[in-house]
Amino acid sequence: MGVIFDSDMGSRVETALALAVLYGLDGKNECRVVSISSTRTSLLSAAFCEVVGRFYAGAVSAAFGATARTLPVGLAADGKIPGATPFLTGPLSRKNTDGSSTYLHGIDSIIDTAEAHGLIRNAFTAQHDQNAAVVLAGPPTNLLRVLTLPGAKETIAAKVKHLICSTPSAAKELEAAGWPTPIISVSPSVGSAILFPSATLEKEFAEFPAHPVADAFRVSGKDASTGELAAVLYAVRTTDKAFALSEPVGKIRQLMLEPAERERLLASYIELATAKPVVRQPRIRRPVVEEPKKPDTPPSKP
Amino acid sequence: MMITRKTLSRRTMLRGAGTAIALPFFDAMAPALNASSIPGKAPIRMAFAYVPNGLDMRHWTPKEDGAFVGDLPKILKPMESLRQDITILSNLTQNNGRALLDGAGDHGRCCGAYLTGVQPRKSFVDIKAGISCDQIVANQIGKLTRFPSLEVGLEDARQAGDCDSGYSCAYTNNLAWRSETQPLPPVLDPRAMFERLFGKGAALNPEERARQTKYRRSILDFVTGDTKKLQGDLGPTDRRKLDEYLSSIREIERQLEKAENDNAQVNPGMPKPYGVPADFAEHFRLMTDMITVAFQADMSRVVTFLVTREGTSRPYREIGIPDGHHPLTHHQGKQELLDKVTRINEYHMVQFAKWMEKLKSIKEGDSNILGNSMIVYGAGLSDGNRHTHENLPVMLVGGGGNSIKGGRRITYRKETPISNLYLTMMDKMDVKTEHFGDATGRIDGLNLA
Repeated sequence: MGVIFDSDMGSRVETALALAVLYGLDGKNECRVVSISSTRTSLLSAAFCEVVGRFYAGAVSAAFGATARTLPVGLAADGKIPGATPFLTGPLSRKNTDGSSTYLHGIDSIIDTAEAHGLIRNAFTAQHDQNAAVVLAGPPTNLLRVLTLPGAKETIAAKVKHLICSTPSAAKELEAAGWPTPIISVSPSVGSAILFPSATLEKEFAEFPAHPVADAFRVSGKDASTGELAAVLYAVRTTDKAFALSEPVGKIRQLMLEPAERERLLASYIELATAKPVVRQPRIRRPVVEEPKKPDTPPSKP
Repeated sequence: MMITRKTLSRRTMLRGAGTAIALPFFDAMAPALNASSIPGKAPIRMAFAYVPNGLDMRHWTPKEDGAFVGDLPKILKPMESLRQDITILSNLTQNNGRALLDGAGDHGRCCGAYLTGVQPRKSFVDIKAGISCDQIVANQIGKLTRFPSLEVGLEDARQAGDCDSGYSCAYTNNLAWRSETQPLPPVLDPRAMFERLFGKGAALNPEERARQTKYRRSILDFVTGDTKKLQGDLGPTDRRKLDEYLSSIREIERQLEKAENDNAQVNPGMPKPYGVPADFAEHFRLMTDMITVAFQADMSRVVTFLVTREGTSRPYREIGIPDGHHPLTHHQGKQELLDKVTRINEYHMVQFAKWMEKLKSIKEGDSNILGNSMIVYGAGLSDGNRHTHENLPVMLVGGGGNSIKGGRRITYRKETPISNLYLTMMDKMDVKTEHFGDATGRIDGLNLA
């Protein structure tokens, strides 16, 4: 499963945690991260996405070439949510003892980023049919633009299994614009039902000398809601018993939680968000090995 | 006021037995009341020169964005005298050259996708790509010229067989595609090209041609009558222009004769294509001289030029490189091999620069042919070692009819489709197309303002 992750990275710490969960799933070989983009018109937003990608370097997909080390980050150049936030400036300004930046990235100007809609469209083209999921954690600016590209709706219909939106409003906008696949909208109650504990900063995250997501989390220092984490997890683990879907209204179904599974779900979030980077080999299609034909007659005895 | 000057038709030709020679723009072709302007305006030409196997990008990309500062990178050095006429475009990408689940075959894919903007079907039997941007232009403006488009190459025009991991040779050996399933093979033989431009007769086999050559005169001899008549109608400036033009045709003829003689000496018993010079540089010059004449006489405004086929393993012994080009590009970082790749890249550029200089030397109104052209020089791969399809080497040469500001590097955002460049070029050719290939829009920053 290839996952396209589009967000307004920087608005909430929850988004950074969701991205960490996604890379955690990638590290477990349950999915591949094939596109990362942001609707926040801020280079820092793209830079943070790249920093997280580099942190998990090796776990990053090779969708754009067998030897590509990190994915280009898509950025909406004309988005409506400009500006930096402490969730971005906090980790990005962290210094080592020698004064150098703790987290390196290569995004110094807009040309170091990609047009988000073209990047997302290209990511679709590299997926097997019905083997991609889109997670939207923020406004649908980029995805709406993807829909305007000629042939994009057909490509999405062929490649994408489902779109999971963290907000009902985004789901409705995309449905109205003709998004061609089933849409799952995370119920507002899902995020508040389970809170990602800030205590992990002193436990699981403390094992890392430097972790960009932990540094973003440290800025707020408070337990974080988990609606976007649920969106990511459901995108990949659709059969997880912790989740339930409502009856569809139009194309949209609501994602809900099974109350009895909350503790297990929280454990999964923590395990995935704090997972260590795993070096992954580039994806190579396995050669088709034909089974040897059975002989019509038994071999003669010597 | 009495108007006495008679306007010469733009379609005037010099005709003789089996020969029709188109003419360049003359002042006498301008309306009588406005001799300084060519009817409408000077035509804009579009050409694509393609080199295979990627380039050594270390020596291609200028260090800074914006106006060129200091020396050009090593590979671009031969273009030094034309530095104000060139624009290096960075970060353009051909996504459809990538595997996209189709496995090996980057050479076949990148060339098949280069001007079509679609992913070629992996097959060497049931080929399918898309109509190429040059043919979209040719379809719309081709009626204005004798040849809607010209397809030229120097190496290999095989159209069948497997040339790269299951990709047909039709993908590696063609740039222009008239339809999804119909590539337009390049003309490799200078004599065939010459006759296509100037002669009406069908191509003859080598034996018949050899017999005819014995008695051959210049094609200019066949049009002597028309030439004298035309000279009488022209002013001194136009007469000089005509003289230069006919001299350039005669020079091509001489080159052809020389090539044919050389071939006879080099390899008399081989069934080598007739008239193809043994020397790469000479072949390059001969073909590009003819493209120049075709531009000059407005015989065509659209050209694709496949310098050598994608994935070629051609050696370059003429510059001391006996190794095949393709194996060299899989250098794995070895300096010795990398240096040879760079030298091949430079060698190609030297030939290309000579062509560009020639285009610039031919005046056309207040400008010159290069000023009224858009010529893209590039490859379908950037790093030939890793087969990367992003940040392709793209150089745009010419002023596009005084509409493109050269002398600089423009870096676009990552993953910007190269199809966006083609859409922009189509606009400048007055060919309006809403969409092409995988384009996401037009590119900006090319204009003078």
